Amino acid sequence: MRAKFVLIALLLAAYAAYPLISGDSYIMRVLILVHIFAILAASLDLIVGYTGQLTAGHTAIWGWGAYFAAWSILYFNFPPAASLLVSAIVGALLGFGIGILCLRFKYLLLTLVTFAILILSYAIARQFTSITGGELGIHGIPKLSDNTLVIFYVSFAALIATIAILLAITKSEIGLRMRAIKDSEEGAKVLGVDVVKYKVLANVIGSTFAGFAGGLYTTYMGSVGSTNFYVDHLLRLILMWGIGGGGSIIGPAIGAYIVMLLSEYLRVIEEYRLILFGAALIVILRVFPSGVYGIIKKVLGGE
Amino acid sequence: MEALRVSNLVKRFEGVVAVNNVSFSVEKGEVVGIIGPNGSGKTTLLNLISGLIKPDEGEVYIKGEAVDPKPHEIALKGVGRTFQIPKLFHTMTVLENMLVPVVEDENKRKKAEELLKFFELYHLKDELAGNLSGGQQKLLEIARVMMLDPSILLMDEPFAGVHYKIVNRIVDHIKELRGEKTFLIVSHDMHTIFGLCDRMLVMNEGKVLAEGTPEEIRRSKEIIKIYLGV
Repeated sequence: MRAKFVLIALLLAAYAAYPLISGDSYIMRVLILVHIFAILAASLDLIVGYTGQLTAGHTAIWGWGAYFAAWSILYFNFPPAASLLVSAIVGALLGFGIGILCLRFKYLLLTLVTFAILILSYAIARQFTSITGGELGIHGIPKLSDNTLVIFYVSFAALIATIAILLAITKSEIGLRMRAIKDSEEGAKVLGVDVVKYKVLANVIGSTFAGFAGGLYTTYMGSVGSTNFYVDHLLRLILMWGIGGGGSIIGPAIGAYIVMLLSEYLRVIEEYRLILFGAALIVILRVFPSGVYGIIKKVLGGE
Repeated sequence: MEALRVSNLVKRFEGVVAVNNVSFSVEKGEVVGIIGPNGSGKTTLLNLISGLIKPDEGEVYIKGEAVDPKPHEIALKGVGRTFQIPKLFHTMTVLENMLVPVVEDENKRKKAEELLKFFELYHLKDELAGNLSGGQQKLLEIARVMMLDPSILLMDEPFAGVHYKIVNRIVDHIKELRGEKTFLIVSHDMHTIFGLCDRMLVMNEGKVLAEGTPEEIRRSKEIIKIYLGV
């Protein structure tokens, strides 16, 4: 156990040192986006992988988090760092609303309703161009820092903190009860578990991080637009969750690295990438339902 | 002392009256059996008492107090429930299953381990619940609900599809706890239920047709007619 801990610490240290040593700003920019999507994927896992609520609205929350960060900076003169807090709060509030709405639906219906929220978000953002910028978006938003290296470390620290917090939740009694709800709602209810509370809680916590990731995106890119609500982002998120291995928090984050880095380095094959990812998802889910993280765990032997 | 009372309970499912104006009470420490043909409303009655479904009419009283039909609150009032097909958390280990019940106890883990030993499941504590045999799953569900230390236990077909040795173990556990806890047991296993219960309720088409000691029920011509159609 201790050897594994040391190995993980060394790997993380090497990863953190890499941009300093290589000075490669291209890879840094790619990795910042990976960090943002890894936060999004890990936070989705709390809702889908732990309480079994198959939401398709997570990227909508991410999109609104991104917009509210932009508006708080542009219209209320918030410093970019403070705008991250705004996007997290917006995420939490949206998560609460969606969580309450989700209580009325299950399985595919829940997915359809939350997918409708994403489509509605896109329609709203495209329609009210005076405040959203529509397809062209809003540009020139002050960034968290003009130094890419600083944003790399901030986003990396945010990712580590997100995973640590989510893991702490899932390893606690709260996480145990969330998993129980996923396996059998009725079984959990008759054991005194307030299913409504835990389902909404998963939505609020997961969405807080989704909103935050949205804010991080805005304050890194310096722009935001209705394109944030494109279904492409949702598809990529599903791929990250499935390929990485849902129900583990770390798995979907690993999935974000795989999907984002392969997307980047396989640009030459353009749209064939989606075919490749789709096929990979089918094979992985068939052979290793617990995803790449499950394979890693098996190879390393245990937790 | 009255442990449980249901008063004029009615539940309809799209025109079908599954439970039709049912009233009865159970004294503390009693073991009461509910028998009746398939579709007579036995499981629906347990679902109504445990709050999993809301009655269209009528009330449920636990220890003299009317309860809101919210299952988690009813569970915390000391009403435990097991199911015909155990509702275990299949992707979780046996021990993790035992730790889900909402119990304020500093020694929760120790209590869980003691219960697993009592139900002879301790050696399986790290096994996934989904990998247990049918009988072991029944035992685990009973052990798990005991974490709540319920004063009233609603058991739906605890002996169905279970090896006779495990049936005997479940019966022994119930006998050990009788007097201390109140049991309401739905079963088709006539031999076991008649030998175990202090009192029986017979249901048919959503109604309680007869109520009495096992001996009285055994002699009832009406019951013979329901079961044998003669």
